[in-house]
Amino acid sequence: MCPVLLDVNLTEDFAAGFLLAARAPELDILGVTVTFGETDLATAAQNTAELMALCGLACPVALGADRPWRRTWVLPPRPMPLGGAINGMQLDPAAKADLSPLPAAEFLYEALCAAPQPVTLLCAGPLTNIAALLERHPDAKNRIGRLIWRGGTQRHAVNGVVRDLQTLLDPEAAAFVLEAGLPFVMCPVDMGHALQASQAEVDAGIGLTDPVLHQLNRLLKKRWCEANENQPIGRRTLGLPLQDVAAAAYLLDPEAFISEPFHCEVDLKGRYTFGMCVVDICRRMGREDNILLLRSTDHERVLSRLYQ
Amino acid sequence: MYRLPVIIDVDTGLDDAMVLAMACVLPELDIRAVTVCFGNNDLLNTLRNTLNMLKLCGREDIPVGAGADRPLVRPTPSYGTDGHFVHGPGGLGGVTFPFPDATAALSDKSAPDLMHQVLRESDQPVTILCLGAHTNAARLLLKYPEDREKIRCFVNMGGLVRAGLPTVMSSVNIFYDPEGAAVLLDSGIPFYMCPGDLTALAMVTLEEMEELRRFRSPVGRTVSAIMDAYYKTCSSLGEQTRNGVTGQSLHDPCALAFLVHPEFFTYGRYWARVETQSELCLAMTVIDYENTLGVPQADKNLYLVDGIHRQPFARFFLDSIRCYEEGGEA
Repeated sequence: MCPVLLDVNLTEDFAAGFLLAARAPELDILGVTVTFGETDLATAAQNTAELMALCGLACPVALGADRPWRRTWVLPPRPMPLGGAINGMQLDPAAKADLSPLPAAEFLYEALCAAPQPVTLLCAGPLTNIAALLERHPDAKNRIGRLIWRGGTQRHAVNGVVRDLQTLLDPEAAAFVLEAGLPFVMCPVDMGHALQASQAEVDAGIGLTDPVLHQLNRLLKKRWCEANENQPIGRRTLGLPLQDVAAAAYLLDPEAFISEPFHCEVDLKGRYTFGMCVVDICRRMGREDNILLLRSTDHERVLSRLYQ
Repeated sequence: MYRLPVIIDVDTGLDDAMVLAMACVLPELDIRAVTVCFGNNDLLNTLRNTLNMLKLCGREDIPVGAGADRPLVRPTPSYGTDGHFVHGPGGLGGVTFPFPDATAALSDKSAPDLMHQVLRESDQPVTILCLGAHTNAARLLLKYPEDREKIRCFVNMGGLVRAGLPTVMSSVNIFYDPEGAAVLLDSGIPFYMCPGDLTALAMVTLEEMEELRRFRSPVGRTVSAIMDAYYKTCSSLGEQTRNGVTGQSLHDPCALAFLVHPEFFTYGRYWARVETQSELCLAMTVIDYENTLGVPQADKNLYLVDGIHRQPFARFFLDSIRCYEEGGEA
């Protein structure tokens, strides 16, 4: 059993990845910490409670940062309830998490110290909680086996031209964690473009009677429709990028991925490039590699796990 | 035949010299001036190379304006005796001319002033082909803002889609003067960019280089010698094979080809700016490929040239230089 801690801002963009990890028998999920992100901390906490109730994951949950590490919000969070849309997942709004009294950073530190072996962190959100953890407890670094981040980008970026959402949500925290010298696996936005589900692959879940997989199918179909909602009728053929599934699948089956080490920094000064995740793909900087960048994957092998 | 009025702004190293040789015989172009900037070497050398190349091509009728020897705000670059890592000593990889340095075409006007005069005297907007640092055109826009009405567009060799050269995110030619390039991209004047990713594909094969080697005119021989020097440095950098084709990428001639034969190319239209404040991302061409800003079509200032048919490009190059052969024609 591989011990894992999840640090998430859980919205529709990570629910499929979350379920993949939560249902994997080979993982021992020690706890979940919640961060602000695209959605606010309270919504993210409730989303986490509801999704954990759906899949029967019973581990402690700790609340973390409600805003960036060193500044106010770059992008103001908005409410994004996971069960909010009629065509998305239907979740129990009365679900309650087993909340730890500790803040996320302290909870993570205790969990890391209590674990007999190094723990894998799977992060899907700004890296604020991890930055706070490493700032307060520098020795935590040695207890982290590796950190897998659903975030960053080598090329594709959707916020103000060159910034990817997860980096921009808290640029200073991302910069700090990248410099910390952790074994850092980046599952970038680009990985979503490398792992896209076609409509047929999404629809392969139609008719499944397992309640979790049924909700997953509803979620993926909603996301696929959203990816195509601006396409003209008859041309709704875009794939659904599955960056979240890729990040969780890497945890389960790293050999299904092609990856490459690079040096990566976050720009904190630029007029247009502030908050940009800069991956030195041409190796111009001569700096030591600090990330393992996921670049492509075995599509069939990863997607075959989706509805298992 | 209609001749497109154009000002060619160069930093004459190896590929700029090829552009001059090609442009001087093209019936499609009306070269109103050549302006010179630092870039592939210091201004002294780029100016000397420009004047000598124009003399060799028999086009000392074209006025040459000496321009910037340094970026708008950054310090003067230093080239040393070895010169630029691609363009070599003197900027032409050691290629020499069989005559004393030419000066006849040198205008007493500086590059921005010569550009201004050409624009003012022209009854139609003029295209500026920017092949080096963007300082001269930037100084023109800063000194004579009213001239923007007379600039049809900029056609540029420079930029990179997302990779960096020479630093992590910077891009070729933009890097020489990021603030200068920013003036051009901020101006809203249409900017046709032939980035390094594209121009690397504008390749002349080893077989086509053989064809060039058989040319006997002084221009043909010099261009062939320049090509050999270019191939020598670029192949030592591992840049000789692209898309399975081995040869020499002709970066600046690619931008000239876009001006004369846009039908060889594909392009997309985007909003773009140059990063100047960040050290890490200095001289990055920030291009809104995914239209995340949702700017109106009219505000999309960048035409990013992104695809090329190599064979007609190589043919265009060879046919241009062939014009200098006896019996060759334009």
